[in-house]
Amino acid sequence: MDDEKQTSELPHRSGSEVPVLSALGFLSAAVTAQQIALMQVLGWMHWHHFAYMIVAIALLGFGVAGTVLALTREHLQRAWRSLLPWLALGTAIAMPLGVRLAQHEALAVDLPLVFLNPPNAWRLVALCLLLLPPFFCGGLATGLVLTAQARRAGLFYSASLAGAGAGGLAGLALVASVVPARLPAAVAALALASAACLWREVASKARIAIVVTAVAVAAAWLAPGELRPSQFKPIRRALDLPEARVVAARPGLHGWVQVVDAPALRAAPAVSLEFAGEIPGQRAVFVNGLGHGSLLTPDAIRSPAWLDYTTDAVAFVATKPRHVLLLENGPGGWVALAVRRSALRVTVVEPNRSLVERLTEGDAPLAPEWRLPAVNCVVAGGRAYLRRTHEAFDVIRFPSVGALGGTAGLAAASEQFLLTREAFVDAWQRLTPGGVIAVTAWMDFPERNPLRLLATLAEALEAVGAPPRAHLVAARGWATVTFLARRAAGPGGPAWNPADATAIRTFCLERGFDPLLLPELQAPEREAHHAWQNPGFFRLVDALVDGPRESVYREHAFMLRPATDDRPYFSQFLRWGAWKRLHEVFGARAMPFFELGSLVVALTFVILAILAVVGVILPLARLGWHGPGKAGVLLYFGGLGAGFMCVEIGLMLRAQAWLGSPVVAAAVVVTGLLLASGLGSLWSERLPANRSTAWRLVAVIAGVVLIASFELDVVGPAARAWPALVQIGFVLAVVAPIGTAMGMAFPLGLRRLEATAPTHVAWAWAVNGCVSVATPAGAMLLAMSAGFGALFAAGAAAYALALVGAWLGGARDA
Amino acid sequence: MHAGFSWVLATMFPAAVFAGEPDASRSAERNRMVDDQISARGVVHEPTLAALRKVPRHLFVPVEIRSAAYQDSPLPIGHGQTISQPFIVAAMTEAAAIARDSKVLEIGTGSGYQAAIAAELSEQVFSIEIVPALAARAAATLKTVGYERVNVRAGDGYHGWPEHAPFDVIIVTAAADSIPPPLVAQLKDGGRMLIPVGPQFGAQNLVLVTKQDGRVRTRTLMPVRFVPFTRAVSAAQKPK
Repeated sequence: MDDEKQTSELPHRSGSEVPVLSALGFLSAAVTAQQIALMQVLGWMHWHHFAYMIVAIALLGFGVAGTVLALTREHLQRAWRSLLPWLALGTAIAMPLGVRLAQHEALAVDLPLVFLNPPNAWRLVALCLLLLPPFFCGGLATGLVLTAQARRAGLFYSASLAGAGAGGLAGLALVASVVPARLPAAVAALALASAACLWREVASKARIAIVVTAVAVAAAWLAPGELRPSQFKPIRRALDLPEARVVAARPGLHGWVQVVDAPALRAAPAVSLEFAGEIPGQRAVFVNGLGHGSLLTPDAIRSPAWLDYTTDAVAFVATKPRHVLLLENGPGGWVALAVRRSALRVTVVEPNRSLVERLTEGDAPLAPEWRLPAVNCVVAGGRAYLRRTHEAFDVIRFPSVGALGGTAGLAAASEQFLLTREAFVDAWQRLTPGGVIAVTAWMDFPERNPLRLLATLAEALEAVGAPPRAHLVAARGWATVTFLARRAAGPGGPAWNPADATAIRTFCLERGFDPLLLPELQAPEREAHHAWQNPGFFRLVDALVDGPRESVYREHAFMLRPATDDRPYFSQFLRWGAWKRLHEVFGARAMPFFELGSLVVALTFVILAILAVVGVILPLARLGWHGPGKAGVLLYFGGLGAGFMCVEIGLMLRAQAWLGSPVVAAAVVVTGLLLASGLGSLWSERLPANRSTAWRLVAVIAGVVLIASFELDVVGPAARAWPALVQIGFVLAVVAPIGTAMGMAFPLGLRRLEATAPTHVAWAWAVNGCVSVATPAGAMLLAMSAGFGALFAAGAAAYALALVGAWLGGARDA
Repeated sequence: MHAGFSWVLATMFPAAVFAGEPDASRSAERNRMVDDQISARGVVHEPTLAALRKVPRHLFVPVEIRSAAYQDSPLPIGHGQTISQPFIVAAMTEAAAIARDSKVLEIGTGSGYQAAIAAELSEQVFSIEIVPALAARAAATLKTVGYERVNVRAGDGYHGWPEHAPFDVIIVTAAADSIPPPLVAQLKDGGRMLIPVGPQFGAQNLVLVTKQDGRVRTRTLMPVRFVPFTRAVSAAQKPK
C-alpha cells in the first residue's frame, strides 16, 4: 500500500512520462508478439496454427480485464502507477508458464481425443485458460493507463499502438529464428523490458521482483522444457524408433524444420508389391512435426529403382519429360525419378526458405539432389510460381493428397491453395503441348480424397474446355491412385492416343497396378491386382468424370464439391446436413475419425462463447442493467464486435493466399488492423458523437467491407505473382482503410453512450468483448463451409445490424 | 542394427511379475469379449474364437491397466506402441486362415498377444519387434503364459526372417506407407499377408495380400474401426 500512495497520490519520481510510455509500448509489443508466437507453438504441437482461437483468447483476456476495470475502476485507478510494473511482470511470467503448464500430463490436450475422451475436452478448456493470463495482464495494464490518464489518452494510446506494430514485427522475427519451445520466453523478455522501463519509478520490492522475473525468464529460455506434440503426430512415431535422433533443425516462418535419422527409417510410399529390390534407409524431414519428405543418399539418388514402381511413375510413361516442375513436393525421390526418366531440367518449387536453405547448405548438403546441375530450386509458393513463371513444363507434379488409409480430417481447417480448382487451371496454362499434370491421392475409406481430387480435376478441365474423359487417365496401386490430366499434343488431336494407352496398360501390368481411367478400359481391368471393397467407388469415379456431378455432390455422404480459392479447404469433407446419415451408417463414435478438424473448430466456438459469457458478462450481472435502449446497445456493440472479427479473420485467410505462411499472414493483418483501428479511434474524436454520424459511419464500413471483398476477389489472382514485399504492401493497403473505419465506430458509439446513457457503458464493452471472443471460431466455420466471400458478407451484415442498433438508439441522441 | 540379433530373454523378466493373476477370474470377461465384441461383429472362425477365449489377454497388458484388458479398445504398452483392439486381432487372425502346419511370421510383436493367438492355431510362430525392450518383455510374457515355442526377436521387420522363410502367413500389425519387398519375397506361393492400413488415429482398412503363381494381389476386406486409448490409461504406462 505504501507503493500505491507513493505512486498514485504523490508525484512520480522521474517527472517524465517517458518510462510509462516506453513500458506501455513494450507491453503492447509483447502481447502482439505472443499471439504470433502461440500460433507457431500450437502449430507445432497440433495440426493447425489456431490463429482464430488465439485471437479470440487474446480478446477474452482483454474483455475480462475490461470487466475487472469496470467493477473496480476507482480502486485500481488510484494505484495504477504501482500496479503497472506488477502487471508487466505478471505478463512476463505468465507467457512461458502457461505454455509450460500446458505440457503437463494432467493438462496437455491431445486434439484427436477430444471427442472420445471427455478429460481431453476439459483440457482444451484448460489450454484456453492457461494462455489467457498474459492477455489479461497486458489488457488490464493498458486499460488502467488509458483510463487513469484519460486527458492524455491519445499520447498513451499512440505508444500502445506503436508497440503493437513493433510487436508484430518482433513476433515474426522471433518465429523465424527461435525454436518453438523458447518462443514464450523470448516474448516474455519484451514484457520484462516493459517492467524494466519503470525501474526508476518503482520501490525496492518491485525492483527485486523485476530481477527475480528476469532470472525466471532467463531460466525459461535456457531450460525451456519439452514441447510435446500430439502422440499422433508423425514425428512422435519416428522418434519412437530405436536410435532415432534429430540430426538437423531450423526454425522458420513456415514452421520448424527437423530432420530425423533412425536406422529403420525408409520411405517408399505405396511402392508396388512387384518391386523386389532394396529400399535404402533414408532420413525423414518434418515441418512442424508433419512428414515433408525424405532425404536420399547419393547412391539412392543415382539409382532410385523403387520410384519406378510407384503409381507416380505413370506420369513419365507416355511423356518425354524435358522440363519437370515439382510443386511443393518436398525433398525425396521425385527429382531423382525425373532425372532417371531423362528430364533435362527440373524446377523444384518450395515455399519454405528455411527448409531449402537447411537442406542445400554446406559442402555435403542434406538434399544433394536439389543441387544437381539440372535442378533449379525456387523459393516460392506453388500458386505464386504458377502465376509468375513464363516457362512451360512437360510434367507438373502436385504434392500428394491425403495419407495412408486416410487422415481422420485433421487437416480439415487447413487452407490448401494448391488443391483448388483454380490451381489446376493455373497449372494447365503452364503445360507444353502433350504435357501432363500429375497428382497422387492416397486411397481412403470411406473414399473422400481421391474422389474430391478427381472432381476438382474434372471441373478444372471443363473450365479450360477440355472434356475430362478424353484428358484424364489414372492408375491405382494397393494404396494410392495417380491421376494424369494431359494437354493434347496438337490442335484437334487426342490427349491420349492408342499407343499411350498401350504403354500405360503395359506399365500397370508389369508394376502390379490397375488402370482406373484409360481409353477403352474394360471393367475387370480396374481390379485386376487390387480388389476394392466398395464396388460403388467405380460408379462414382465414372459419374465424376462424365457428369452430371451435381447429383453426386448432393447425394454423397461427404462433401465432394471441389475446393476453390474462395473456399480452399480440400480436406474439409463434413456436410453438416448429412450428419444424421453418417451417424446412422458409421455410428456416433466414428464421426471424430472422419472429420475431426471441423468438429474441433466447432468445439472451440462453444468453449470460447461460454468463457466469454462467464468471464465478461456474468461478473457484470451484479451491477444490473437498467434503463432504456438495451436493444440498441446489443445490436450496435455486438454488431461491431462480430463485424470486426469476421473481417479480421477473413483478411487473415485471404492474405494467406498470397503470403503463404498463416503465421506471416496473421502477423501482417493483426498488426495492420491494430495500427489502423487505433488511428481510426484517435481520429474519431474529431467527429461529432451523434446518432447520424454513428449510423452513417457504420453504413460506410459495411460498404467498405463489401468493396474490399470484391477488390480482393478481382486483384487476388494477379497478386499471387507479386514479390512478397509488394504483397505485404497490398495487404496493408487493403487493411488500412477498413481498419481505420472499423476503429472509429466503437469509440464514437461509446462516447455518445457516455453522454446519453452512462449506465450502459460497461455493458457496451462487455457485449462487444463477448461477441468478439465468440466470433472468430464461428467465422472459421463459415469460411470452411461457405467461403471467404460469405465471411466478408457476414461481416457486412453484422455492421448492418450495428447500423440498426445505431438507429434504434444504442448511440442515440440525448 | 538389430537384424539377426536374436533374443532369448525370457529370463530377464521374472515370472513373478505375473503371479497372483488367477485366470479363472477373468475367463468370464474373455467370453463376454468374444461374444459381445467379436462374434457380434461377424467373426465366425471357431478356432480363432476359441483362441481368443483361451489366451489371457490381461497378462499381456501392463499391470497398471489390466483392469481395462478386455475393453473394446487398444491399450498402450509403452514405447509408443499398443496392444490391438480385440476385434482387430480376431479379424486378422480369421482372415489369415492359419492352419496347424502354417508357418506364421508376425511383424510387430508388441505385447506378444497376437503371437499367442497365432500360437494357439499353429505350431510355428515367428515374431519380430523393432523396440528391443518390447521384444524382451513379450518374449518373457509368452514364456510365462506357456507359449515357449513362439520365436521372438528384436530387429527391423523390414528384413523379415529369411532363415525361416517362406511363410504361409505374415501378419503386419502396424502398417507403414509401404510393404517391405523382403516380406513379399518371404511369403510362400499361396500364402496370405494381413495388414491393417490406415492412420493410427482413424478408420483402418484390413488389407489381404496374396501371392499366387508369383503374382501378388491385394483385397481390402473391411474397415476396422480403431478406438484410440485415452491419455489416462497412457499415463499409467510410460516406458520404465
